[in-house]
Amino acid sequence: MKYDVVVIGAGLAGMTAALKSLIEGRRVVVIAAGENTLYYASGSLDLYGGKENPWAAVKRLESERPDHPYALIGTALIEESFRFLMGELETVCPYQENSGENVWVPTSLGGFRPSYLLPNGQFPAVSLKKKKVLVVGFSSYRDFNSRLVASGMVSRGCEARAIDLDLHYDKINCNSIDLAYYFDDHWPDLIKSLQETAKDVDCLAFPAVLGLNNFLDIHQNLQDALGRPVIEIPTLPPSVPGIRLSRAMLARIQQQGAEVIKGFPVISTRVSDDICLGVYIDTPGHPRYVEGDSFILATGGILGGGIVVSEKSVDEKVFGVPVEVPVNENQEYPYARCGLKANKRLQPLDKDRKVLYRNVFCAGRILGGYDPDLEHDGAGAAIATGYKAALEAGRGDS
Amino acid sequence: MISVTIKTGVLVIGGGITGAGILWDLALRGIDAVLIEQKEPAYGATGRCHGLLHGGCRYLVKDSAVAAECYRENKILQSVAKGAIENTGGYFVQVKGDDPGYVEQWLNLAGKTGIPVKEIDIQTAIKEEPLLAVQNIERVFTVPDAAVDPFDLTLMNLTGATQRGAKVFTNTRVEELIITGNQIRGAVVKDLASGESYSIHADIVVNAAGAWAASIAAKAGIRLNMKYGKGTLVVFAQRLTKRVINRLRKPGDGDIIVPAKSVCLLGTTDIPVSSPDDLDPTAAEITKMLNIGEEMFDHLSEKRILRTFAGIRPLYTGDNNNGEQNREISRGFAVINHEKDAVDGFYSIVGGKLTTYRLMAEQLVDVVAEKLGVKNPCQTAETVLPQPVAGQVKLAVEEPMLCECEQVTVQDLERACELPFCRDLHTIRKITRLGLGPCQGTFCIWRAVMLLYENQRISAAECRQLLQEFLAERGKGSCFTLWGDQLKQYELARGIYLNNFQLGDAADEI
Repeated sequence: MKYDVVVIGAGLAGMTAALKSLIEGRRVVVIAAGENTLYYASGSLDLYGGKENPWAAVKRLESERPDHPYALIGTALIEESFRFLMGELETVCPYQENSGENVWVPTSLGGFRPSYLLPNGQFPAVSLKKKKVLVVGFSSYRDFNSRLVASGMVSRGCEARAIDLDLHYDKINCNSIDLAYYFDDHWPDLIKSLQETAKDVDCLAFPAVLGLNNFLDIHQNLQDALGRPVIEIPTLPPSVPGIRLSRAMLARIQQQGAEVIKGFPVISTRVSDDICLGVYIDTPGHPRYVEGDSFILATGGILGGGIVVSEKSVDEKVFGVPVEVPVNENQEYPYARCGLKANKRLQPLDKDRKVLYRNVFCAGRILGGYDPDLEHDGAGAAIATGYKAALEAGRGDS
Repeated sequence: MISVTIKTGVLVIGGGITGAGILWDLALRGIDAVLIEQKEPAYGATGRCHGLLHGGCRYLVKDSAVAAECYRENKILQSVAKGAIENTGGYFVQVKGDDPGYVEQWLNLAGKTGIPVKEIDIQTAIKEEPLLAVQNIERVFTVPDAAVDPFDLTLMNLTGATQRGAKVFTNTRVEELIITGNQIRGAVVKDLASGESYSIHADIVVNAAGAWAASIAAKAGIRLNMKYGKGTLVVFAQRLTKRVINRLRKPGDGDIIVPAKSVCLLGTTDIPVSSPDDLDPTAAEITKMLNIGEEMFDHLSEKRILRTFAGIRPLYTGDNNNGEQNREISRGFAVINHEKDAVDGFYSIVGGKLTTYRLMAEQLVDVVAEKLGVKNPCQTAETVLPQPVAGQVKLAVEEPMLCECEQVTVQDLERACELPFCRDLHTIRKITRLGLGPCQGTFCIWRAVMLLYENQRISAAECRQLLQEFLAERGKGSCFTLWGDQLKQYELARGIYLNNFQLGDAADEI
């Protein structure tokens, strides 16, 4: 069977690309080697970090940093891609924005970080200033310290205090996912325990563990029953908000009719000159061949596994596209901005800036030229390039 | 302002294994003593070595007296410091191209010294140690080497001593030595955590500052001729061998691999440096060691590397300072009575090695005891040291776990914090092995910091500071081996802390 679009990688970029392709009416297959890096992310979607207005920053990057993915896409299309994704997620995992500005979201370290699109659970952070906040922790959950978070809020003008609830939870070692599954069933206990205490505060903050399957209802029900906004604070990974987003997108893609092959990496490709004909997947027994008109390469960066660094070389795993490792002013991490070089259609370029494969389009962290960990622009770059790659894949190789 | 004064019999400067061994020996003889350490226990050469408890064979050709000394001490430590030692045994391996003449000489001296060395056939050796590069191996001998945890060993000595009344002050630096006339009276020291200075009055001052011994002696106007050799080590993410494996040739770079708990260490280089603070490995050293290691082990450079680090070998060159290469200088040690430099009651102990620390301590304390008129003989060869705080494997269901890689529990951390000399995360790491496994602390350091905060041992600002320091330290350890899975791990940690937790500049925040 031949597909219109073969998406390699099922992270934020690959899934955005798949969704857009599906909405455009393409026949889509998504091939994923395993889970994606949303499991480590905060679950909120950054555009660009810092105190500067993020859209002003994007505009600035367009002219100042021609290698930045945003410069390849352009502000108008980035805005379009964000609107597209918000629309697609509206019913399954809704995200909200703060009239074009960043929101400073509380962290588990008692600080705040800037982000742009926020899931329902994080959005109430938008009006946290000077509020009376009750930070709720759980005594068996050692990754989150309610007092530390409260003290951070106090030092920034909130009137926060902390409380720890005993869960009668029999697991000695529990992480965020354990708790999220626990609350899928036991969330009403929170209302019982907090009903009285909540009366004295303006809002409540929890670690982001309030349900995995049932999280939308739980959040709504808690807010309704306690009569106050409820904030979820991103935790040490695994990230429950990241997993919710990942699962919601995957479900949406499948609902829209994509085939998803998960658990097997692409091991080789069939190409003819500058056209990719198909890819081989490492399925049990014998490799499976998948044919397509266009290919979207969204296998991730180093952490995602799209780029493999050995003692002697830095390689892109699927097509062997040369990886650029820019000489880095930031000596702390030499691979901060490493990745593939692409043109404005997101086609991968070789060392002489010539298009390597006309029907391959790159999206997400596999692209070089930006450092999402310092710049807070990883989600934005994934969404924008995923969206753009889908548009280009739809146009074909002409 | 110098406010407090502590009075003691002997002030020991330096919390490496030498100082710790001396404190334990003094305590056993009933001599009142205080130890100060500028950083944390085992900060210097002690904590930055292979952790090889020599059977002596490495020194046979160079200095068979030192070899015999090592073998004797090895046997003693196996009985008194069991908790820190894993009796792995060792191999000496002759690789193609290694000088057969050296092997004969080595065998001959082993016989004379009485160190049990036995040749085994190559097939048996390969079966035991499958990583050995079979195509390159000429001969294999078993030797009585063992692995010792230098952190545990130091901490056991300190714990034993404090249980018997000795005092240990870490994060405490010598500001000046107090000397009146020709007599040493103690030292003015500074608590680096609080910034306060105070004086410690003592009848005797022992300079066991290792690589920093010359700068301590200089405070009394005394010149110690020292040379510094930097040795770089590579830590692999798993035990690649069951036992200590040495290259059977004239000692050189990258020719020993030592299993250490859940990891193993390859080392080492020997590069002359001018300062004991020059602790940075170089990429060239690591490449060179991996290449040499590949001659003895198959696929060595494909194995996951956790980190690299360097230590300084402080070598005492005596009064003559000719241009000898560092490895040629004796690995023996010297007890120097500075009466000859017109400072009475001041002693330096320099040189030596981990395996012979007990003997070094004994000889030094013999001199000190005589000076103080104490007749009690040395008891360290017969007295069993206390067990390390952590170290037994537990099941995760029994106790809440902080560090999955190294199986460190909440209780381990709390017990470590109770030790009188445990004042920082570095010491906690050394006591518990927290953060030393494959994730290099990405998850457990966070949990440890949360727990320390919960128990009100640190402030909110210190949480941030500790995590920042920790990340910087891990960056330093990984920067020369950023590849493979460990690079992914590094990027994950960077993502969590810089991105999710905004652990950069706090001023960036609202």
